[in-house]
Order: sequence, then structure tokens, then C-alpha cells
Amino acid sequence: MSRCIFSLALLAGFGIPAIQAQQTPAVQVGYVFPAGAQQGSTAELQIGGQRLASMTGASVSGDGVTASIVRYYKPIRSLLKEQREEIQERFRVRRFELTGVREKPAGRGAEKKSEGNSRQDVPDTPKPVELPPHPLLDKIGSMSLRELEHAQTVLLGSNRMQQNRQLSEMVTVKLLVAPDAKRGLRELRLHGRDGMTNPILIDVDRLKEFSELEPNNTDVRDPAMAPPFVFNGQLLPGDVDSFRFTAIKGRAYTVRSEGRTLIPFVADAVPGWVQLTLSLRDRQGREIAYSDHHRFAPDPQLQFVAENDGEYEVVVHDALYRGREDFVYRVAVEESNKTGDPQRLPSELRARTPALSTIAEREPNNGAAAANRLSLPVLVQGCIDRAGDGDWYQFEGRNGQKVVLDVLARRDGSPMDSVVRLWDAAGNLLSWNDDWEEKLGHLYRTGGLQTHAADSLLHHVLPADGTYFVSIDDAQQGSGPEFTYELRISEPIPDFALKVVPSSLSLPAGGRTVLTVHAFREDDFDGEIALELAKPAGFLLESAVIPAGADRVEVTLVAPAEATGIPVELALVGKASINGTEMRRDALPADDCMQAFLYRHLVPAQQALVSVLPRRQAAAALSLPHEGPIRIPKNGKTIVRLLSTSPVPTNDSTVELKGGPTGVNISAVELHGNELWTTLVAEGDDSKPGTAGNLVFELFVTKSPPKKGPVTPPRIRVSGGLFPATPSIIVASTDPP
Amino acid sequence: MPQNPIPGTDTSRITRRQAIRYAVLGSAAIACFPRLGRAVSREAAGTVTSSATVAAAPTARAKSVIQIWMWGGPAHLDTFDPKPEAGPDYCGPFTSPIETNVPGIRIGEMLPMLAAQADKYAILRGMTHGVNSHETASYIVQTGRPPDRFVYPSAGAVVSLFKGYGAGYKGLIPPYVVLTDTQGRFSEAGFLGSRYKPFATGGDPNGRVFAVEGVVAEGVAAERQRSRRELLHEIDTLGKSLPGEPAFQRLNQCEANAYEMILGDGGKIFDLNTEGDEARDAYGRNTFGQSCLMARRLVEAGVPYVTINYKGWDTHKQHFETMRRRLPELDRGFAQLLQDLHNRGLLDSTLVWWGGEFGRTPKVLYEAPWNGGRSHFGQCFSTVLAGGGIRGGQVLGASDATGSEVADRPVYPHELVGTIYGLSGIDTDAPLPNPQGEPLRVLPRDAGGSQWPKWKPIAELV
Repeated sequence: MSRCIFSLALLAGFGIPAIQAQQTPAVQVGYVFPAGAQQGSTAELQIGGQRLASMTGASVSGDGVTASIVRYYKPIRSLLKEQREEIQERFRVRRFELTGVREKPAGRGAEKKSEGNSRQDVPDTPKPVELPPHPLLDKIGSMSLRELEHAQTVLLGSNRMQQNRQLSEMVTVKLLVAPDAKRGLRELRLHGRDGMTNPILIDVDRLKEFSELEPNNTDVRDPAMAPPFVFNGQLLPGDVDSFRFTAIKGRAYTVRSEGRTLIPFVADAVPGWVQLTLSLRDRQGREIAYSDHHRFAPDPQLQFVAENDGEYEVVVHDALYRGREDFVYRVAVEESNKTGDPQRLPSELRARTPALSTIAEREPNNGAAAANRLSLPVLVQGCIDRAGDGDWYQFEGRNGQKVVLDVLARRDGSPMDSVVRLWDAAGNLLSWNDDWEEKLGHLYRTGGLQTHAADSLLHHVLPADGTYFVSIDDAQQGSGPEFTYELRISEPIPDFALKVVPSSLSLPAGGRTVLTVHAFREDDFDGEIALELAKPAGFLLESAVIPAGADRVEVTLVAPAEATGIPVELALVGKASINGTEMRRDALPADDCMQAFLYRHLVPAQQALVSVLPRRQAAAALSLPHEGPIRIPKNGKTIVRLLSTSPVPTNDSTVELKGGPTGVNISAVELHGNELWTTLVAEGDDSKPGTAGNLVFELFVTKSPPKKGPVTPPRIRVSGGLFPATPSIIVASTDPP
Repeated sequence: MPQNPIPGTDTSRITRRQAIRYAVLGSAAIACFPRLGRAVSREAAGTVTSSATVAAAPTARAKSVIQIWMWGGPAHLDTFDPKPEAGPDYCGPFTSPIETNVPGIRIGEMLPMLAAQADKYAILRGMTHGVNSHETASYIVQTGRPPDRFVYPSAGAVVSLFKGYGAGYKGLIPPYVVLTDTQGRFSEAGFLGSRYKPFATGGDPNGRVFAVEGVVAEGVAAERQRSRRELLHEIDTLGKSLPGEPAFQRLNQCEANAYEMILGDGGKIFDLNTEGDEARDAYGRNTFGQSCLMARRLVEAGVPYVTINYKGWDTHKQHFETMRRRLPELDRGFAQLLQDLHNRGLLDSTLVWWGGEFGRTPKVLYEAPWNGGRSHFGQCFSTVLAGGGIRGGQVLGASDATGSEVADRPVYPHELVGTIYGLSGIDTDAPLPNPQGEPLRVLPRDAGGSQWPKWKPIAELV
């Protein structure tokens, strides 16, 4: 995708002023702690992020949970010596209230007090020290001794953390969870006049919640907790967290963690996620169980049967002992037979299951001689249930017949890592597939939350009439009753699925925003997909078509003229005619999340929300009048006229391409009155004739904020608005214009 | 197959660096010195020189190379390939590049002192390899090789092989010196083995004392070191009883070399306090500036390859804040190095190579968590060469309007490294000894495999 901008200034022959251009970052949340709450409870959660000062509301997906903002906290860069001393003094005062024991004062004023005013130059009343706001400082007056110790460790302990601007602001949110609120993961978003944040996950559970108190690295002194409960923690650099619980001899327990489940990917860390480890130790400190994953899922889980009555200890840390504020985790401990709901795994279900006849595998079928006979099309439900198992099937095929072998296992929560093979009757291997995934550069389009696309997909044209065999195995020689799979063997069944990105949208009243809709084409479907806005009412989708053969398109969404500031749900539907039948598919909300500085994943979201903000100032109406798709010749140029109803500031404006066919760039922009004549080029290997997609242009203006003090604030770059999405296509240079 | 074609690849033996450290300790560890210095390298030369001298080596224009390694990858748009026309989304706050003393060449506005030296260097704006990971890109740029089944030596190790002790180098200071820390991201010596690893000085040349590892020990005065040596001699009854024993004679020679390094002229090279304040200030009173000064002194002493590993250019976040701190430091140190080499008549014989493993994403990443950062970018970046036969005052190649693609005269790493070898008098077709006994050569024309075109020396540069 080309993402090219051009300044008008020099192209128009003007000099650019020396600007300190910086762009105001989007509102963003990075973590929530604790990341959950119990049904029927009230909880206070700390949310870390950036540009949160203007947040006024919070929304939670699903029913039964409401959230409201309690307070905003600015980042604390570093504490001054006087501030550290003041905090120590407040801790000392609170400890005296609790214990009645006076401690020797430390720091500010201590010398005076301990020496009986012997020094004349020490003032009687020290100048008040202003402390930076922090949630822990708000609560000193109500803290227990153990909580004071925790606060002291967090606020005054050795700080090995890097400052991460995107996590440095905090907001306290009050959560009300109804007793009948459905268990499970929910999305929490903040919203306010500057927009709406990305979603962050919280877990509503039926278990009692505890949060860690530091220090708890080793030699835990806190009382053992009686299961069932959930322990919430936050791993900081080098951190190890421990807690104890009581168990009854002979009973089975499950210790289940959530880390990557809550925050699947971290952009600026390698590897791009928290990698939890769980260690279970007995009273003597002997490790009796350890886990760093569960099946294929990265969050570990332990099962054990208590050999004795008494206390056990769980130790949690990152596998590489990394840590920072967003390395948040939850560990649930409960008796295994009381876990209730089925295990939640970070899987992503296939968008559809074809309506085909379904049969169950019939053992024994471990070789061609014992292969189960099938009639196409068919869905086979099978299982690699024991070591050495491999399932075989046979069917009658025709010369030239296209067949598809499509496995659904890992995406449905099975640990199986499938391999399918297609054989002819003579035992010749015709084709095979282990993993199948779609990548677009560094974007893993099909993976979602999973980084190993373990399911297999195979297309093959049969070379002759006759009997064919299909074998399916686990690539890692795994087996067990949970190694289930569903295998489709059929001729191609063209279809599609859609994802819409991002899941949080904010735009000014009457303004535009851009959405990317990804198409996942199945079984050779390459037709056009029309997009339709199912909700909310009052919005308009522009150029809402995914061109034939395209795997994505950028479209513009236009807001109604009135702002509500209340997030409402957005739903898109795709329609396509396939073999004469209209197919409708919902677009699943998703977010394009980066992992480890490079890779990107389309992470599914529970809902897409859009918020219409009051317009702060009148904006120019932007348009792009054009009949039919804009044709961009390969290795040639085309000029597009972008129209504005208001004059465009010459020296301080830029135009950026926010969407378009791969390989298309802006090469020049000229200002003619209120028109921006934008020259597009399609050069390089990436630009291929026949590639179609919407062009989305955005106007940016660099402004000087009002000067409030002696220092001239840096100039800021703000969006002047989006032009409506407009279809385009790259054509061969020999094609007529 | 030869059993041990490269003497010294036996890892059970002691390295020069270890030996120097032992020498400072002034203990019986001096017995290890046969593995150090000239004696060692003459031994090593047996295989190396025989192979290296078979082919006719080109005439060396550069006696020494100073490599300023911009560890982490410097932003080409903010240094030697400014793009103000692309707008603030690409150039950030640096919208006003400056003209240099060569008409038509402009560079980043934070490099005014380098702008005044542009007649001394050539800018390569079309560097490319397309790799965006530190480890692989560092290996590619420093070896001139795309990854394959062999781990090739870096340019410094190759120079050490062909211009070090085995090729007649007589200096006490090892022929390949790194200021101050080794890469760690890849093995500089590759399959040549630990003998050809660089001598990493450690310490901080901007400190009160430049505590060179194994040579200069803070708190141990020269007199105390001498007294340790005398004590060692007094208790060396075995050596005294066999004065003519060849092994002991070699040991004594190595000991003498080591003490010369510590107490003699060798060690004094590392003493930056012998430079006047004015000279030190001119380079900038920071680790990089004083490293540049140190590099000049090493080159003056005849060291054939010096790398300055300059950290801090991996600016994913708050990039421009870092640039405002770092670029003036770079500007002063690098510019003064060129000027000083020129003034001393050393620039013609010293090739200065500036660059990192890649550039940085032309488009500024304004979104969280980067908040105005630049990521890795191997598709198009810049390198600077000066001295050692390089014709200064020129720009070779060009990037496109945004610095995102090479628009003209791409230069692949093997062309760059091969050109440096050529200017250093190293025959790129010479056999390269390796433990497997494979018929490997320094940098044959097809070293880029199927990924890059066959290389040839960059004729425009000389």
C-alpha cells in the first residue's frame, strides 16, 4: 500500500517555514489492571494509555457491566527528592495511625526533629511539597500496613522501567458488574471529546478477585487464599510474583492463567507479548508442576491433585523476566471439577461452515486399505485419538474435477496441527499441505490471534477418473481425544468472509473517516463484493465496493451532521452474487495490531463502535468529482483534481494517500485556486495493471497553536479532512486513457 | 581436508585479548603470551599468507580503514539524504537541509560542520539490501554477503587477516581495534575464528582515564606495574636456570611485547590526555567524539582497521528528540576526524566508512506507541565514504521523492565492501581459509548469490 504525502509548499515555489511539526497522537489505551472483576461486584480499575485527559466516559461490551471514569492521572516522570521524602512521611504518619508506634522521621525536617531544633537555619515549618497525582497516593489514609508496604515498593522502589509514553497516563475507572452479567471477556473503551480509544479486554468471572501486593517475589508472607479465586498481577522488569493457596488432599485443582489472552500483541517488545510461566510448589518449596503454555495456547495452565492438606505456592513470571505496565495477568485457581464453562481458547472460528452432509470417522482407517469410503461433497468429523493414528478416506473422482481438502481444527480450538495428503489409486502422492495462511507483506491476514496457521487447505484438479485417497495426520505426532478435526472434501464452494478495521472509530459531525475492509475469498471466488452499512442509521458509506479480485478496500464513512458523543455500534454487510445466488456475509470487527516492531495481525473484536464528535470549527467541504474509476497507467501519470470549498493554505498543507491500489503514489501536488491537482503514478514492481481499489486522499494542515507562555509551542499537524473514497484501477500503459 | 587450516581457531587456546588482560595482572599468566602479538601471527601466517599471497593483490590506496558503525541504523532522511519536499510526515521537524561546500550537495540541517567538509566525502544514497532485522542486516553490510551456510568474516577481520601480522604488520596494538564494544549481534571474525576478532578496548575514551581493557588499569600506576614485573622475574627460578631454552626465549619476547604495550609507546597511544584540551574539545567531549580522536591516533600508529561502534541510532520512539541530541555529536566528531586526518596528511591513506546496518523508515510513525519514531529500513539508505582514494564532493545514486526506494544507481553491500577491499589492497579473489576447507574466496563477483547482481568495484568513487 502506498502511503505517500506531498507538501504543497516547495512544489508551488514557496519556502517552508522552519516548523517543529508534530502530530497529536490518537487516544490509546495499553493496559487495564486488574483486568477483570467478579460478577455482582464493584471494582476500581487502573487504565494506562496516552492522551486520556479528555476522556469522560467508558463503555463495556455486552450486557450487565457499566463503567465510569473516576479520575485522570498525569504521567509521573520522576519523583524529586523532596517528593520522595514527603511520600515517606505520609507513609510514616499512616503507620503510626495503625500501630501507635512512632518512627524516627526521615528526610525532610528529620534533622530538625531529631536534633531538637539545634540548627537555627532549619525552618520550623517546611514548605509544602506538592505531590504528583497517583492512585496509590489517593488512598494512603485508608491503607493497611501491607498495602502501605506495597505502595512504598511501587512508588519508591528501585525503578528499572523505561518510560513508555503510550502507557504513561492513567485513568481510574469504576466498574459495576451485575450478578447475572455473563461470564467472559469484554471490551472496555474510553471516550471523550478527543475520540474513542481502542478496546482493551477485561474478564468477568464468578470467582473472588485478589490483586497482588508487592513485594511478593519470594517468601510470600500473605495469608494463603482458599480456592476458588482469581489472582491479578502486573509484571515489572525482573519481576517474579508469588501467592499461596490452600488445597485439600486428594482433590484436583486447575491453575489457569491469562496474559496473551488479555493483550495478544505488543508492538514495541520482542517477542511481542507477555510469555507467562506458572510454577506450582509445595510447602517445602519443591516444584511439583510447571507450565509455559497450554496445548497450543500461549497462556499456561496446570492441573494437579493435592497430595497433602495444606498450602501450595504459585510463582508467576515472564519467561524472559521482562516486564512493564502492560504485562498484566490473571491466574484463576479452582477445583478442576468446578471449572464449569469449557476452556476458553484464543481461537478464531471460521466465518462459515458449509451446509454439507456430515459423517463421523470410522476407525480403523489407518491406511489406504482401511480407508473410509466417502461421497462428495462431505464434511468428515474425525480425531487423531492415539499415538500413531492417521486417518484415511477414499472417494471416486473424475478427470478434470476440482477438489478441495479443507481442515478446520486449530481455528476451532483443537490442538491438532494437521497435514493432508491426496493420493491416487496407485499410491502416488498428488499433493499435500501442512499449513495455510494468507500474508500481505508483514500482515498475517488469516491468523487473527493465532501465530501458527496450523490448519491445512489443498486445491487439486484430478488427473483421471478413478479412486483417490486422502490421509490426514498430526504434523507434530500429537494425539488424544481433544485432537479433533473437521475435513471438507468437495468441489470448490465459492464464498467469502469480511473483516472491518478498526473497531473503534471517531469522527467529527458531518466528517469522514476511513475504514479498511478485508475480503477473504474462498474456493476461487473472485467476484465483486458490495458493502452495505447495516447500522447505525444516518451514516453514509462511500464507494462501498470491493473490486473483483481485490483482497481489501478502503472506504470512507460519513457521519451525520449532529454529534452525540455516545459510541454506537457499527455493522457492515457484504453482498456478492455467486453462481446466481446472492450471498450476504457480516463483516467481523477487527483491529490491525502490530507484534514485535514488524508483524501485524488482524485481531478480532467483539464489536465495532463509532462515535460522532462535536465539530470544533467549520471545515471545508472536500470533494473529488470524477466519473467512473480513475485510470492510472502503469509507468505513467494521471492528474486528479481534489476540490475544497475553502482556500487551502499554500505553505502549510500536505496531501496524503490513505488508500489505493498497491504501487500507486503521489508524485506532485499543485494548487489552483481551491483545487489540488494531484499527480498519481503507478511505478515499480508492486503496481500491476488490473489492480483496482479506492483512492482515499487526506488533507493535512500545519498550524501554530496559541502561545500561552514565554515558550513558543511547536507547530502541530492536523487533518484538514478526508476526500471521499473514489474507485481507481491501474491500467497497462498501452490501454486507452 | 586440512586438520586445522587456520591456526588459532582452536578455541582451547588463549586469545590476544585475554593475554593482554593477563599481562596487566602481572602474573604467571604471561606464560600465555606465545598466543599474543607478532609471535602468534607469524605462526598464523603460515597458512594465511601462503594463500593470500598467491593472487596478485591490488595496489593499496588505503593503509587504514576507520569504520564509523552507526549501530542501530541511522535515519538517512535526517542525515545525508534530506527530503524536505516530501513534507513533515517524512522529514519531521528537519525541513531545512543545508548546502555544503560542494555546490549542489545538501545534507541534513543538523550537520553543519560536516556540510563544510563535503568536498572530502562521497555520499552513497542508493544503498539497499532489503533486510530489516538488525542481526542479519549487520552481517550483510559488514561482510558484503547475503546469509548462506557459511558465517563469513566482517571487513575488519578480513583486513586483519590480509594486512595484520601475517602480512608484515609490526605494531604492538592488534590490527583490528573496536572502540569500545564489539557488536555482539554477529561474530566479526566468522569462520576465521577468534584470532581475527577485534580487540575491543572497553572503557570510555571520554572518561578521566581511558581504561583500555587489559592495557590501562585505573589505580595501577606504571611504577607498580614495573615492580610486579620485577617480582615475577625474581621468582622465575626455572627461567633463570634455562636461559637458552627456545620456549622461554619466546616467552620472554612476548612478555617484553606485552609490557611494551602496557608501559611503552603502545600503551601511550591510548592516553588521550597527551592531546591538548583544544584538540580534544574540537572532537567533542563525549564518547563518540573522543573515539574519533582515538581512531585517528590508532591510524597514525599504523593500525589497519579501526571500528567505532556508535550506539544509540535505533530510534523507534521519540526519534527527533534523540536526533537533536545525537546529530550535533556526530557532526562535530566526524567532521573533526576528517579535518584532522586531512591536516595531518593521513586522509589520502585512510578510508573512512560511515554507515549502519540499514536506514530508517522514511515516513515518521506518529501513532502510538512510536509517537514520532522511525523503524528499520533496509530498502534504501545512505553510506558515506571518505579518504583512502575516494573522490570526495560527490553524491552517488539517489533515492526516490520520499527516500523509500532507490531511484538511481543502487549499491549493494558486496559492491561497497568489495570496493573497500580493493582500496585496501586486498585481492577479492584470494582464497579465504576456513575450517571446512571449502574453496571460499574473499569476495568473488558472484558473492551476492541469486539475490544481488554480480558486483564490480564502484568506479565512480575513485
